[in-house]
Amino acid sequence: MESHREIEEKAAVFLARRDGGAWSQADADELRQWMERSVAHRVAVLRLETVWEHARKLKTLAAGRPGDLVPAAGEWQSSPFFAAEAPELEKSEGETFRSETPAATSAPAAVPSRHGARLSRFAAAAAIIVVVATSIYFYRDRADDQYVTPLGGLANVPLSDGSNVTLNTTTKIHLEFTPEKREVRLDRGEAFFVVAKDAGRPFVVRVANKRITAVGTRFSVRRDGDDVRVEVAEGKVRVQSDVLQHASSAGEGAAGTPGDADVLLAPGGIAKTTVDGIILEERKVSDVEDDLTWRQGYLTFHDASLSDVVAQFNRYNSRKLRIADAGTGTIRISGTFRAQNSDAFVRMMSEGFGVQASSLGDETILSK
Amino acid sequence: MFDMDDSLDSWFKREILVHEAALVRFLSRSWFVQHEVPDLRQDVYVLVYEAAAKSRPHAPKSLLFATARNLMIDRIRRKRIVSIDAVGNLEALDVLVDNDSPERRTSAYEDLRQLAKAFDELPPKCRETVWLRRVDDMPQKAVAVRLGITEKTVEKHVMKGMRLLAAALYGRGDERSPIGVVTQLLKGSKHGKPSGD
Repeated sequence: MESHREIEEKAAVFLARRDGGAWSQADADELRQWMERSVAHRVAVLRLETVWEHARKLKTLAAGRPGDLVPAAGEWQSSPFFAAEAPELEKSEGETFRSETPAATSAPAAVPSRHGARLSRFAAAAAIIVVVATSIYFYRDRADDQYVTPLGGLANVPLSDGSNVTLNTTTKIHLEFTPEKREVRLDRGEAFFVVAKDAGRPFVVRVANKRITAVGTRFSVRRDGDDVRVEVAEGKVRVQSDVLQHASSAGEGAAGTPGDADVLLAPGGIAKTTVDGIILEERKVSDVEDDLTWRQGYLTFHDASLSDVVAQFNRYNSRKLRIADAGTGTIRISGTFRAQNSDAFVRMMSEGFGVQASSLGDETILSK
Repeated sequence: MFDMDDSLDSWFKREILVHEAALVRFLSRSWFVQHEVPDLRQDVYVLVYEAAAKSRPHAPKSLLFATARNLMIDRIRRKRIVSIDAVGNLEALDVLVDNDSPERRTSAYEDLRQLAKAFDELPPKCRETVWLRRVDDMPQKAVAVRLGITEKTVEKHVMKGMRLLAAALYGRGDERSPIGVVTQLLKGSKHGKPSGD
């Protein structure tokens, strides 16, 4: 099949020749035949004809110009036509989308600053449910200095040392800050840390039986039962555990030797730990950043299987997606989606991929 | 067989080609492989032209965008492995197409401004040729004498001129990355419809 480029070029050849003096009946017949051969040809001719005709409007700008001199580029700006009216018409309709986006994570986190107020559990829970307009919400139990997000929640927690924690869906952290140390316990879920430098006061995340130490860095930690995943976006992070394993036998880079139970992760580094040990993976920093778009409420995938995508959505939504058969689960997907809008995702799947979606109890079953 | 008469051609220019800038923006926002956009555009035109040959639509612009949308969905289905960005955008763009017709306020003034800009971006000889042909109505032969080049070269400049103008006025589309755009559209659509004016 001819490409649009070839067709357009051919059409331009015809029209430029017709635009000149030597346009014979034979030429006209040739053009007509060419146009009748395919609608694509015809349409290309119509399109260029339209543009060429449109170019005549330059005459408006030539009005009042001396002789037949070709104006210099940019001369228009000072032409009487443009000088007469100068409304701001530059704004493209694309702009309208750009303007009105409240940045999810910049919403005020509304963390109470006073510590130690002893409220009963019940009162604390009732009083401190913070609901921010953009569905970012979390609970803070002041008595215990712990932060909890519900299913689909997203919360930004500035810490007293200038560090910052972003909590993902169904997450619970517990803070223990003393003059000697900064310690955060991740009981469940996922958190992203931006750590303020303080050499004398290490920043430690405790999760399951792992200890993650960072000085001036950005990284995330996710806990799923006893499995822990650490991803580093910036700086260095040390992961310590009881047992350590290498993913590949060609062990190189920042990793320690097997049995060390101690790894230093650089940017792009990912450590997955299970009860059996730690598996190391090195990826591009941009991949890690894509994994972190949850902080803005989005999930980003690059050529991920539908089963992986579904597993991610299920972390955020009470209505769970389930794949009926293995074949459907192998559909590959790339893109950025709102984590909480699995309905829209399901609609896209059925519209774009012909995937059938049916309701069964509180599940949505996807099948091909 | 289609009715290939001139009135269909002029209808097509008047009702369809006039939306090209909007169509190309729509395609390049929705489609994830930017260099495929011109081919998509061509296929959309062919489908619309063929449909109109059978029966002239009442709402040409809606037909144009619906055709573009269906064509993209059809391609996505056939590819199977595909970025869902495309579909994500299609959803969001339903709103855009209905409420935010890109050409809605292109005044004659704005038209001219864009034309002047596109014209200014032409290579020097090509630019002179276009001016002399279109504004001064100088025949190609005279243009050749005036610019001291052969008629054949003038013809080449004319060819190039119309293609470059078309590309500048319509074909450029949206240079932002598809993912960035999806993100924006999704965020925008959270509020129901786009803001602005």
